[in-house]
Amino acid sequence: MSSRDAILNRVSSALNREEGKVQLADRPASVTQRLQSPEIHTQPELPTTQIETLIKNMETVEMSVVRLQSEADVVNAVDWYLEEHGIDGELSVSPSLAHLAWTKKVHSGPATGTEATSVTSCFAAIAETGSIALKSGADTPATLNFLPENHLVVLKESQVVDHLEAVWDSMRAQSSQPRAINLVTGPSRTGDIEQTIELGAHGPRRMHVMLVAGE
Amino acid sequence: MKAQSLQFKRNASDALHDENLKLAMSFAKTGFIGKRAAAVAAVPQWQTIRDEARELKNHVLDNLDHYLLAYEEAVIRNGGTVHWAQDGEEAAKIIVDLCTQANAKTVAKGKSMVGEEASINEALEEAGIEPIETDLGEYIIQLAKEPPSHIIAPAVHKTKEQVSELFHEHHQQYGRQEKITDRAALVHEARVILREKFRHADVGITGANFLVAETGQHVLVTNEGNGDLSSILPRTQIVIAGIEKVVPNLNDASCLLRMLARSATGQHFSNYTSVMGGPKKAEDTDGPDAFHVVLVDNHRTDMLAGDLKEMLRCFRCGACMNHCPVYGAVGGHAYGWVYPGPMGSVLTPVMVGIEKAPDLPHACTLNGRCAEVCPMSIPLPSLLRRHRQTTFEKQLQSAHSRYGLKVWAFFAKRPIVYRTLTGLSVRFLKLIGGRRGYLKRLPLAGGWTKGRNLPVPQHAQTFMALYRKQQS
Repeated sequence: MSSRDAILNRVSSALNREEGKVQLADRPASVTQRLQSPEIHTQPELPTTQIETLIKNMETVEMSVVRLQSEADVVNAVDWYLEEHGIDGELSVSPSLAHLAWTKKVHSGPATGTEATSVTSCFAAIAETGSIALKSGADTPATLNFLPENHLVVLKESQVVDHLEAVWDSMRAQSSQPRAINLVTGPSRTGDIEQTIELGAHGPRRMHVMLVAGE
Repeated sequence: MKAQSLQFKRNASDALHDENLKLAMSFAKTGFIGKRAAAVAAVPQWQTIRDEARELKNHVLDNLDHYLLAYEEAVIRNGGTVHWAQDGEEAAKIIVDLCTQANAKTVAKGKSMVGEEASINEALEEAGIEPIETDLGEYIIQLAKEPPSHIIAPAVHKTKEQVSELFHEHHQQYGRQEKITDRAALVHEARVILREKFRHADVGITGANFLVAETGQHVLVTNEGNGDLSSILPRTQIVIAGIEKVVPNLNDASCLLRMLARSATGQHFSNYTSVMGGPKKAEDTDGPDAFHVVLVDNHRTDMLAGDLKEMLRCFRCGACMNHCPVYGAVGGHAYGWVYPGPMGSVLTPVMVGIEKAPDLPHACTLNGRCAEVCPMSIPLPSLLRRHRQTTFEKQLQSAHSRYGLKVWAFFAKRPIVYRTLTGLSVRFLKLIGGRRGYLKRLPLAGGWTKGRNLPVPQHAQTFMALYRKQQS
């Protein structure tokens, strides 16, 4: 007997199933329902408005947030941020942002591993947790979220949702599913040396969100 | 790793005299407990969410075979492969075979407790493949050649100075001669060295916090981002997980995620919560070419069949050990295997055999703090009591304690005799120790009074007598 069958047999016998090992076709209605129409469990209430909660939660985890009037302001905001923090080095942007009028030389595509900074778009942001939701894909390669020391994110106000479940709902509504959705909640950190938090463990040391008004 | 749990008493005694350990554990004690309490207090609906989580996990356990089949079907739909391992040894063999097929020289590993159960690192090394732990804590203990001492903070027993020594010793081969002691500099040095390792790793192995049957994806939570780098950069991605990790859908995972970080570190959410599955898509420009999941039983089905079923709700947050006075005093290594603290004292006897860990269920004061803070409402003290019963039935305890228990049981079953005798002893204790308020030595229990005094009753009456008086 294969280990697969042995394990499934043991599970079924532990659960006292009269029919023995179950098959896909034996799926009970309660299981089918949970797989096909996920219910929403109790969600923590947002203490204040969606945007205020989002910004407060982001700042709690050392993400800085700046509000912009339009996408056209993004390039200036990036230039300003890099200068303000004295950041040199290569700049990579997600292909979804390649159309902006960049003043610096930018690489568009997955991370090269040598860039100091990435600028990416995102899929959503969650007020409840202060997280940016990024999905993998040719337009938004996931390596840009993890390899550079500085990660700047363009977020549109219309992309902000209250709770985690809204992100999954938008995913379910799409025709094809991405390989990964990364919920990022602040710069990379570790508490592994004497339980004291240090930023920039493996991923970005700085995270900056440019929150663009409107759609 | 081979279980050293038989030596619990000796290990615990050594640990109590380890000054470095005492210092390191003091950082943990103050941090974890306060941060968790604040994070939980900030969510007024905590208890409702906690109740829903218990119901959710009970539903999964009652339908575990159905959800495993659904998850497997969805992984295959995503282009991945599912492997099944009955025990740790088989899991390690599957992983070594997959790495060999991928012509792997080095493997980047994210922290995985079930990976520790399976001793993956030893198996890979034997096959001539270099495993590199990428979680900073795991990396530190890999250099020190030690097992983890905490399930979410594996190097919690190390001081900064010890880490500094380790890095100095092991990083000279990379041209780093200078000994650094600054915490931020230590973190940075590990980042630079591990980044190179990530770049050259052929296979990435991580655990999973949840397996999502709805989508065939898994949820992976880290603060460092090492799990994501291990998943994205190497050509082959392998996920190893216990069969109890499956949840029906992403909304169910969300319910559990709301409790996981708060219970573990007191964060409202971990830095990186990634939902991943399958190899990269045709249009993707990054991600792995191949995706494998190894589902591990390793006695989980025994728990499902028996009276320890509730333990399968555990999602490995570590809150129970953070709040355990025994763990806080002796640290994780004394427990002698992969899982320490209260959850370890329940799991280890099941996974390595109670004959090899008879003392663990007794290393507990039954104060109940673990059950109080457990986000999955696992009645840990009751489960430990069941183990205690087994050690008694199998005669695994010393003749002394068995005899003592029998004597006690004889009287406990005869309430009138019991009350008369306890009434007499209370009066006697008060008489001989009343003025000082405590006894320095106790006949027949010299071991107990060696480290502490026995407080004597404040009144010359038993608790029951006082209780009855107050009731009337």
